[in-house]
Order: sequence, then structure tokens, then C-alpha cells
Amino acid sequence: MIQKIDHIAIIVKDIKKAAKNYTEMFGFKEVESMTGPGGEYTSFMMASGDIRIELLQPLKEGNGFSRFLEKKGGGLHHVSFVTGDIMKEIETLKAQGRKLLNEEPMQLPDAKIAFVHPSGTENVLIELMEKK
Amino acid sequence: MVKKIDHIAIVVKDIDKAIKSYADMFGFKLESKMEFPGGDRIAANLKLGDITLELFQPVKPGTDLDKFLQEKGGGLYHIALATDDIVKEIKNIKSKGKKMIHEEPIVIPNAKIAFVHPSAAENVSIELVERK
Repeated sequence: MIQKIDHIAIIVKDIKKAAKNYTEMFGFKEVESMTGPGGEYTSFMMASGDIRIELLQPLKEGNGFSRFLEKKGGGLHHVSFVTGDIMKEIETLKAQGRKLLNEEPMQLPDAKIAFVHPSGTENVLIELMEKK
Repeated sequence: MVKKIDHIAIVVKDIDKAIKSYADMFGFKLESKMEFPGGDRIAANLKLGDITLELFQPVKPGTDLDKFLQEKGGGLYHIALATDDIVKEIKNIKSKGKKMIHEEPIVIPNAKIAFVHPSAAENVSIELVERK
């Protein structure tokens, strides 16, 4: 079962400017900065109270993040839900005939994640996350 | 400071189908569904644990909401962040030279709300909410 929102992700053009902006406007504080696999993107996770927002800036052309930035000018990209059992969530979705972007969870150092295809979720990209 | 995600708003084409989808997929429960006479939308409130989703189906052609559906195919519309002191948040945002859509909070039955202009927040529509 889905337990809570882990984070909301926003695609931005200039991550330094965006991080400064959100910090100044709303009081967000940095949790972690990193560069994604293959140098495809850079991310800035920030928090205020229980809210976690991830800023993502594409670093290369031609990936999903850079297409989103070009087409939409950036903005809300995905919502990440925490679940206790990601395999069960995936099975439920597949049993309903819904598509996932990855049918097997991806292993991250501290979590397993999978993305539900927006076609099944009213055009919302949803990330499922099971934390270790 | 902003403390938690009050809700996430999603624009949908068919609200009944969307309510059923989110119930089937993740177990969201319908709390309320309403249509204001003469209004531009049907709204539904869905809950799962601490997560609240607001679904909007536009009912009038040519409104901003309807344009969002037509142009983007629906999807993530805004995020609402809860604060204890909305007037202080607005003052802080304005002091940074950032634009608000509402410079004075709008009073609704159980809350005060105000929207930050997307140009100030990396193309994200952010609603500030102070609950009573």
C-alpha cells in the first residue's frame, strides 16, 4: 500500500538558480546534490518540514528530462509515492492492464523504484519507491 | 515556513474514470465530489493515508483549466504547500521581488489560500494554504 509522498520532482533549466529561488522563497534546505548515471542530469533534493522537492536539470540532449524542458519549459515532472512492497504494487497495476515504464524495479543504493506509465494515471508520471 | 504537502492537483478529462483509476491502482478513497453552479470545473477530493489528491475536470470551454487539458492533455496542475502563516509567506516572497497571483490571501470556508506566480517558481504553480 502507498504510505506517503516521498517527493515531488520539478524539471528546471538552471538548477543553481532554482535551488536559490526555492530556498529564499519558501525556506527549503538542501538534503543532497548529485549527478545522475552517465552524467545525464543533475539533481538537488531539498526539504522544508515534511516536504521534499527534487529539482532536476538535464545535462545532455535527447533524454526524457531534456525533452520535457524543451517542450514544456520545465515544471512539475513526477510524484514519488512510498510503498512497503513495490513488487505487489507492480503486480496490481499489471493485473489491471496498466503499463509501467519499467516492469522490474530499478535498484538504487537505498531504494527500489519503478515508474508507472502516464497513460494509465491521467497523464501523471508516478514513481513508486520502496526504501531499504 | 512551508511544512507539508496539503494536496496535489491533477487535471483530468473524465473525473469518474480518474476516481476509479486512482482507487483501483493505489486505493485512494473518494472524500467529496462537487460541481459549483456556473463554475468552470467538477472537483473531487481523494485521500490515502496523509496524501490528498484534488482532481479537476473542466466543464467550460475556453477557461484556463480547459486550456490546460486541451494543450497538455491534463496531468499535474499545482501543488499546495501548508504553512502556519500565509501572510508572512506572501510578504517574504514579495520581498524577494517574486510575483504572487494573489497578493492578499483568499478566504475560503476552512482555509486561507494564495497562489505564487509560476514565473517565480520555475514554471510550477504553487498554492500556499493556511488551514484554520
